Amino acid sequence: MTKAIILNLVQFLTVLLFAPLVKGWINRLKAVFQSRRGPSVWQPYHDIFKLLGKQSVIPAEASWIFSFAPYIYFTVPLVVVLLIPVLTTFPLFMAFMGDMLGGGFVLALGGFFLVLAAMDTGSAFGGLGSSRARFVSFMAEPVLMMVFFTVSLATQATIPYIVNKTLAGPALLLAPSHILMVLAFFLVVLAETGRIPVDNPATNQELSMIDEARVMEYSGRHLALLQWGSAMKMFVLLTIWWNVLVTPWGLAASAAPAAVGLAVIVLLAKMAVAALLIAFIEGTLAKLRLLRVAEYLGAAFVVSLLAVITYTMGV
Amino acid sequence: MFHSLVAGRLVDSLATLFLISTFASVVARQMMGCVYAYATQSLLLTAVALTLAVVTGAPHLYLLAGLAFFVKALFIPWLLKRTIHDSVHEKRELSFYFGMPASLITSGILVVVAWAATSNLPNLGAAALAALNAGVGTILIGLWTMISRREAVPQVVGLLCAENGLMMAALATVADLPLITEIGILLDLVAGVLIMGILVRHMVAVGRTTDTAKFQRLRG
Repeated sequence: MTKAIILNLVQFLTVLLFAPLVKGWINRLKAVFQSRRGPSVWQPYHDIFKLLGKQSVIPAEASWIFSFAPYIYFTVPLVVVLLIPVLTTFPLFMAFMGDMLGGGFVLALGGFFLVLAAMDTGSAFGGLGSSRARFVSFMAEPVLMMVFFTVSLATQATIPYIVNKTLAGPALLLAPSHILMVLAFFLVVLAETGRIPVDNPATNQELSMIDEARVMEYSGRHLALLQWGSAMKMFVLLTIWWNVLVTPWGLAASAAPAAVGLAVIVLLAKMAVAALLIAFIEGTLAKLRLLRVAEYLGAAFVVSLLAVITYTMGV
Repeated sequence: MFHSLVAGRLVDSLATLFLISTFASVVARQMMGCVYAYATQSLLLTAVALTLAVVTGAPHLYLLAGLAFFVKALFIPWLLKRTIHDSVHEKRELSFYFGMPASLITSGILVVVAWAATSNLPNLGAAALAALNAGVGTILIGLWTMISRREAVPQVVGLLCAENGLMMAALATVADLPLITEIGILLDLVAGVLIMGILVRHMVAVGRTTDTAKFQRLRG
């Protein structure tokens, strides 16, 4: 039991400490793709550290939700960490508390509170950002559902640890339905974390912004928590993508410190590959017009639908 | 046995990617996007032909893969690119008869139709079935592209996609199609694209547009 608690703490710390680093990698690589030098990879840490020391300004009209939401948004990815295989192949004691669907709902809770908080201040940008964020995530939801259907058809389970274990066998990985599912899930991750074809994370002074409009009124400590939380959300989603779906290997099979340490390094290597991929997409594509986002997610839906079809075809 | 299993999986996966590239040509909003989607699709077709060639060791499949690569993945895209580059001004946003979501959903349904049509065929392995489904689905989606697009160049790409699908279906079912037939099809294709390229240029010269919806009156 103590071993499991320690392992869980190590998982927490891994996500907490390395999430801003992945964000820094993406920003740096993106700058390189655009022939700029770009900020240091440690810049997100500097930002968060500086903001944590600053005073938080709360609008006069705001209710308790406004100051409550950042804490929820910050905690929610850490709760999901309890459910997914971040470092170990064997399930830890909270692993059966919820499945992938449950994890999705828990993550959505953070977004829900952020939407409430953004509307709470009564600022025009908050309402605009909220409605757009809802628009994107309700289009993304069916895709996620289809992905989970495919997963549960193929592996007879939606508990992430079991899916990981089943997919680690050789038979299922190269299957067409699996490739389609991986692609669809990646498209949803891009949409949910506000990356480029859907939203531009680099701007906060644009009429077309989605995520930045929601956090417009935040400052100081609260903003630091939100930035850290969104970095962790991306880290967690990418972890699910890598460790559950794409490469269910490289996790620690025992609780030995060396094995766990190796698992951390392997996870970071996977994240570096994902950062390269995302930076490449961001460096080469432009943001879609808002109503075109529906087409982007529609395409993701068709891909996930094809995954189900090809699975039922038995290939 | 192991090799054939891996090859089967590989053909499966390549066929699926082939189908995805077909969807990319449906989704593409820019003319060059359509052409690149076609080039990718041809590349995947080449990969399937090459895999089958390695597995069966049939020399004519190697030749076919090489021909498909040079003609379909390089020459025809280059030709289309030149046509677009020289003359067409509506490169960016294409116009459709049907909206993008409707088009996508229709394409999804067409894949289901293709599956329903092919899944009952006897004496086909699972891999061949996947490739056949991808091929027939692509034929149907190519025809749909020709109906739903208004611009001439994407219509040409729709026809080319349908032809790619045909070749995929042929590879899936009769791996030893006579080489002379395949070469004949490829030559036809090149001639067709050349003629259509000239046609598009004439359209631009006469009407300054490639929007086929504007060419509806017959003149005797």
